Amino acid sequence: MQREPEELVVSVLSRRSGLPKEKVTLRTRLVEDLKLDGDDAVDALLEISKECSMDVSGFDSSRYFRSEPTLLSLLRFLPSQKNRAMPKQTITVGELVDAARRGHLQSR
Amino acid sequence: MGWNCLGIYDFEFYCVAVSAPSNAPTPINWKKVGSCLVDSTLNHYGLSALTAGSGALAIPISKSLVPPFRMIGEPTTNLLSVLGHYVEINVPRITIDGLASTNLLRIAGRANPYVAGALLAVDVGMISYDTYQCYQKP
Repeated sequence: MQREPEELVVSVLSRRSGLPKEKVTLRTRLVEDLKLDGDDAVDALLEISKECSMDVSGFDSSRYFRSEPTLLSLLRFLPSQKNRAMPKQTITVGELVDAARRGHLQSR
Repeated sequence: MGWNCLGIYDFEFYCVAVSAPSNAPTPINWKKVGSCLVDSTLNHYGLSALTAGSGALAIPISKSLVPPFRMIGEPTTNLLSVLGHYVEINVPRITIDGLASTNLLRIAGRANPYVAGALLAVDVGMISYDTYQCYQKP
């Protein structure tokens, strides 16, 4: 039996963030509240897209999640580079559940 | 040989010999600097290798080269993080900003570039100090 999108999204995000399911609501934000960022968040989206057959080709993750640190990240200590490290837009669990129901995830 | 003196009337506090060899700056022996630098680097081979290894793991990798991330990924990632996609070693949740994850390889990948930077600073400092000490020896 196929699971409801909400149950599935909450289950994946809860497992990947290490938080209990009760703490993951529709208003919970991925980066700020769950601390799911970078490749962790991308992995979670890929898992949800696979389970729900959700098309993610129109989603630009660089607007929502930070890059994984590399040697170039050391430059972020310079004031002019500081803003590049900040996350840009917020995405909530509710938006992901809606996208899972629609079958495609699009950037705002 | 003339003298340049600093003083008042007959009280001369400090005199230097003009054109005396003792006042001339000693020219840098670049050959000795080079051999000292090589010796010091070889003496710190372990630390230098560790720094190079840590730095290699922190080299930016384009996500267009990593199949799972090709569609929706950020432009770059690091090798440990890519490995973290395939090998999930789960650890208790860490909430420190910038390191937050439950995947051990991701946590290591996020800390590694800063470790590499610190190792590089220590390595350069130690090699420079040893090179200077070696150069000062007669």
